[in-house]
Amino acid sequence: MVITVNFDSDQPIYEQLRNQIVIGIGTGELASGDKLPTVRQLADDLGVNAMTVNKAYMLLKNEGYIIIDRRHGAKIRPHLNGEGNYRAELEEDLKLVISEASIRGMNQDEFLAICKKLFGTIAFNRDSSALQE
Amino acid sequence: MLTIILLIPSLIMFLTLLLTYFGQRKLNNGILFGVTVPKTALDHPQIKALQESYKKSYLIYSAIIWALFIPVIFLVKMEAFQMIYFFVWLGAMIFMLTKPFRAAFRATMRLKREQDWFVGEKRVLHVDTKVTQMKKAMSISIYWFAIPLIISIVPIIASVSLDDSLLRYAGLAALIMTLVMLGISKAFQHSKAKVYSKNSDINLALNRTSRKYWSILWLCLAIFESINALIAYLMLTSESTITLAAWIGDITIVSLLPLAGILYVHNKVKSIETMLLESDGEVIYTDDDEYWANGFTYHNPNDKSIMVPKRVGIGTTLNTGTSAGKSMFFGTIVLTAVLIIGVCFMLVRSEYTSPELTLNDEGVIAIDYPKYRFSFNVDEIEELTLVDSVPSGFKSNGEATSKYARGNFKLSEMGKSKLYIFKKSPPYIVFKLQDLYVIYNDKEPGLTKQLFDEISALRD
Repeated sequence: MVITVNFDSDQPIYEQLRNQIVIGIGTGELASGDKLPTVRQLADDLGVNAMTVNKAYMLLKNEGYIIIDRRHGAKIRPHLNGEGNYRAELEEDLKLVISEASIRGMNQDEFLAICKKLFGTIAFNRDSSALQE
Repeated sequence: MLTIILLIPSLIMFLTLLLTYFGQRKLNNGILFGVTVPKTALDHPQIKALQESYKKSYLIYSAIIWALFIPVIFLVKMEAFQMIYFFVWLGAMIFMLTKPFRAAFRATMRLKREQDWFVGEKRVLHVDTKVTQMKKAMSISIYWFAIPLIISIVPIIASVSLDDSLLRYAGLAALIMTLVMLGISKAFQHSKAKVYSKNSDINLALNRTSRKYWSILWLCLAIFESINALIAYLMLTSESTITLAAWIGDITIVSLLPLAGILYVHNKVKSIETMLLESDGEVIYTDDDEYWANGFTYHNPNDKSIMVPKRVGIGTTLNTGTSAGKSMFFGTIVLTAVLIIGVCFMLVRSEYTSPELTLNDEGVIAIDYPKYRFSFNVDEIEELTLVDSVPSGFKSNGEATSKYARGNFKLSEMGKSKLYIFKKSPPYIVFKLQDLYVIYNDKEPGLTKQLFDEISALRD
């Protein structure tokens, strides 16, 4: 998958990296078991510090999205599920997003419609890429 | 002879620069005059006018450049000044051939701001995780360089047992070329993977082609250059004298073939790029104009890579936004300046100082000349002759122009010799010492004869 890093963004680079890899997994662009470049390779090609990439990888590892193997580099974790405190974290994240949406005057139906649409496209891509394998 | 040696590389340099910059008047990969612009910009009347005047200025500057070359031909009698004038001319050529480009770059940049011609995202970087991960395996293995290494190391080893210093130099030259090519190849292997499209398959295919082609080219050049060093050795040691035409032919092939190879691979890779990307709807454009000051130097502190692919021309350039890139950039400038000034200084010094032979009361003959000082006793002379010609040979360490030869040479018939001669003022005094010849003359034939008589008298 193609990762884009924006140097003008307020979001730190490690967070941009982490988010895009998560989106990649979500949309099925990165299938489970897919290999990721090593920290060094990715840092070289992005022209950023290796520590930045390492931070993103550690985040992804702690969140259970990837497995880091000393010899083979990183790869996408084969079986991802809603284990651990993922649910609690999701609720925490959604609280913020929903608050922002309601402050801007969005009602529940509108919000759910957007959720449904996005969930549909992402899950569709994911299913079709899973079928190709 | 020197004029021809100067002319060939100048012509090659002129043509390369001209072709590189002249081509910038057309939209190439979304870049016109070194500025990223949309296709619609080509219809703008000011751009059209710019393209016209660009063509004209290159015609005019080319004419001026070659008119300024004429004095080089006329300075043939004064080699030191010819060289100095040539270096100045070279600088002027580079300046003039890039001037219209710099002007066009600024004008296009101004228009771009006025017309708001922005394409693609700014200040972003893309990576393709698949390409980045497989990058290293895309070039051919570095172990192939064992071939040119063997070609260059075998002569060096052989030279030790044969006691042949020229063969050793040939082997060393081959070895240096091989190591340079190996270094370039390594740098290419580590260079950033390019992201052309959102489609990973296209990125993989294009990176694989470009890396494979370039790595094969560097290997072929290393083999070619090391074989060539040995051919030069054979030409130098062959019994029959090599004609001037053969030498010029050799110099031309050695300098042109690598250029032709680079051009071929560059065009090949570019044509595959265009072919694949034309049919792809997901091409990624990035606008990184702000990092390309004046169109050819890259300055991006956000990017920690030292070498980046050039925007104008073929190859890579330094990122002056990094400290390593900055020191390499200025280091090269200083080194070039020091080299040129040093060479000029040495040339002028040789032109104005001549070797001086002195004879003292104790029978010691001393020849004084910077770097090649030599002295011996009259008793060491095995044979003393006055000759009208010096056999041909080659320089192992010294200075040689069409007017004089000074330093250590290896002459046919004589072998190891020390020369301190003005080529156009025979006769020459030949001192035969034990396994060494020393040949000396004065600019004035009369003085040479007088000196010969004095030394002869001293021997008796």
